[in-house]
Amino acid sequence: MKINLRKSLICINQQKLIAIFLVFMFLGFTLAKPEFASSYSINNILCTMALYGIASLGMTLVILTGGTDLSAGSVMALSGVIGAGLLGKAFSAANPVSLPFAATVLIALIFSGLIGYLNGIVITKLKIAPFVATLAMMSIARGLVYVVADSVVQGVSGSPITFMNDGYSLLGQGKIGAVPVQFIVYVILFLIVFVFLKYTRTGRSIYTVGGNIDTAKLAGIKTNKIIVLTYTVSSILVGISGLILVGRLSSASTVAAKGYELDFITAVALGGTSVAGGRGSVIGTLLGTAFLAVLNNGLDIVNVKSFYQYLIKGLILVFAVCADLFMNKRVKKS
Amino acid sequence: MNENIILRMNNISKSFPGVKALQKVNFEVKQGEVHALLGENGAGKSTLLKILAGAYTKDEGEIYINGKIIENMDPKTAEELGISIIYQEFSCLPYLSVAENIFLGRQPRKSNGLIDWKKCYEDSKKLLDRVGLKVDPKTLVADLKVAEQQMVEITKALSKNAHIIVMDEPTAPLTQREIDNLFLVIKDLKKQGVSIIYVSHRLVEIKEICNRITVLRDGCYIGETEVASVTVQDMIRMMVGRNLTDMFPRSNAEIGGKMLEVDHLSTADKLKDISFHVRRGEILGIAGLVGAGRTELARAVFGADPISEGTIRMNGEVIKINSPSDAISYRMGLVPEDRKRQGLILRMNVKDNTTLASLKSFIRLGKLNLFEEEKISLTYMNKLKVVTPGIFEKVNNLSGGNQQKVVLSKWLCANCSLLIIDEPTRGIDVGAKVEIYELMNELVRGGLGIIMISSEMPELMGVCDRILVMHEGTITGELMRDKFSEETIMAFAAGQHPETEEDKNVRR
Repeated sequence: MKINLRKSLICINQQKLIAIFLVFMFLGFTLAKPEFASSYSINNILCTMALYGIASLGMTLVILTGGTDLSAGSVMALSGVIGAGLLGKAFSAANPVSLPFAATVLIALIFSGLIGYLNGIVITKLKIAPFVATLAMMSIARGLVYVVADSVVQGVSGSPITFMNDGYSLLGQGKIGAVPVQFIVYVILFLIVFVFLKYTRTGRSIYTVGGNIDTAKLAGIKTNKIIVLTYTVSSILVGISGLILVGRLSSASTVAAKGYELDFITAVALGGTSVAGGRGSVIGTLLGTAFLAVLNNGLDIVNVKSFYQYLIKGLILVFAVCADLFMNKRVKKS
Repeated sequence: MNENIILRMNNISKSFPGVKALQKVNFEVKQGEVHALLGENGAGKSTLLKILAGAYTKDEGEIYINGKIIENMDPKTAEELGISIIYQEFSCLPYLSVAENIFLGRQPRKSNGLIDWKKCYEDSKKLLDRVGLKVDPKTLVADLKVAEQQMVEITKALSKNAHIIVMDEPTAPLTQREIDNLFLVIKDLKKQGVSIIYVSHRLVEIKEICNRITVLRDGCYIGETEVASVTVQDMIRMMVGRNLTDMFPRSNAEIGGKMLEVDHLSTADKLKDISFHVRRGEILGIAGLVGAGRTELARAVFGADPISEGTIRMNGEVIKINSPSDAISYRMGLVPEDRKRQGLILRMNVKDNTTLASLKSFIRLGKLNLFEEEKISLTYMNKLKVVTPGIFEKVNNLSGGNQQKVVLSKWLCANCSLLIIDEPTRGIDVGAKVEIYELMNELVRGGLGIIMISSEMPELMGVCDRILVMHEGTITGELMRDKFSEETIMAFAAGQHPETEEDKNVRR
């Protein structure tokens, strides 16, 4: 009887737990401050979800392979300064290039992908642990951000690239009906990644690589290729988030997205994806992202000071990882 | 039986730098037979199988599958030819479903390139039926028992249309009932025409399930024969090359006074009112079924688990043991059942493992005396005849028997006087087993006391001076050497002869 109860309790897995928390949190904030449920606030939440969510999709892929990507925040900023810089319409811009919106997006994403590709190569070929490899890349990419920004805006070094562009405005501020464009982009990307992970052999291989790399090799899976692909795709997704951030502000800052990688990891871990790899889903990450977005906006609205917000986020992350360990124990027992 | 020879390996040789791993070995498997490949660790079995699987390339010799010569064997070719290996350590992914594990990397796809999960589950179901495993293909492998995971591995092999399945020590992690079931499945596969190459140290099982055996020794082909025509003794002789009439050498040590006395010991969850003693120069066996509390008893005495009641005396003095480090200070040592995880630090070398429990004694002027450490390690390496290139070799690279010797070295180095050895010869091959027994005998001759926990009845009866039998956390019987019999021990172990109060008093 006791065991049955335990089992049924565990059946409420981490995803469901987060979903339940999410509902209660939403109700709680609404009761405390009715304007939390206003269309303005909901719009904010959806935008936050899109910004964090797209990058977190990428982070999910990386974490499923058993790796991590600490360079995500820097790649976001890099994608932003490249995209904004190539427009050539920045105030006090010094660069001679002036490309249309679509071309800047494409080039920014190619560069983002390249950073991810390099991450993957360093991890698979030089056999450097993902933590260290991407830590190095975090610094390198941030350095590149300053180099790019400095060559575009030749004023005070480290100053942001500020511009006007309809394409970016649509991406970062536009709406279709009542729904922010960026949220639509998020939903589309979410569906693509979901189908990729569940219905393609490459997607399934990501789980295998994270679960047991030796088994994966024995099953004929080209594990190095999978890892490189994963980091590349992840960085492209992160790059898209970077462009959305730029679009939202009409400005690409050199200090943008600093430390964001930790929020992405938090969203993934909250969603029940094992930080050891091999287990998890993007549905969990969607819930984790929604959780963070509601929490951020809610705490802002009820006027909790930002340093308390850090504290609360940290505690929640510990909770999420504990839940993961608890789940693992069940496996050992059976 | 079909007399088709499905696999023939002729004059296979393979050398590694400095070692001739295989010299002109022949190996032949008929369709639909279970063929045992026998040999001690290091005899060349795994090298031969790795050549078959395409993981190694042979230096010399030919491989024929269905009479056709195969020139270049690589893992992919081997798989296409229907050769599948089930390794000792299963390779299932715990968090993926049964079906996905079966079709790992080969999931059926629809015409649009996406995975067809419906077909994947249906095909899995059909394959699982062939091995009689009744689980939903959507179940996570983590939720299966070990024996069921093994069936999933076999199913995986079948899904690749395997004609030759290699099973490496398949029964090691299984209970008797699960072994019976595995044998049913093997017999069934035989009927379906699948050939099985069976590697095991459990010779009795080989008598039961196999049709023929091929024996290797030191990389050489010794012979091939029908199982029906040989006894277990014959097999041992072929494997070790000498007649082991004395599998269990006797110690003939002088049995002295009581050293460890345990009175009314209980723990919170398992052990109830346990009393016994160990004498100097004695090997005390502890028998019992899995789950009887033998390992728990060892852990409690050694201070690894807390005691709720009872007293422990060492040489007549009551002692308090709250942690393993207390036990070590009373000169006790524990050789655990799970050698690789609890007995050794696999990534450290022989020297570091040897001195692990006695580092304090190597401290001179506040720092470790490395020279002394190396000297002592070398002494034990030679004394216990550990076969290794040197004391700086990682223990991970040693065979099971040699690893066990390193664990013993560790306790001898710590100047231990009472050793608790849990399953001393698990996963160790026949020749090395005898060496471990001889070592234990030598130790008791030197005045040590040994508590030996074992699930192997012949071993207990062969080596021990006295046997205690446990059942559900209590001691149900005690037998002196002249009263040893398998039937009595089994009866006690099954709890059929509850001990009377009088018996208990006698033991105290």
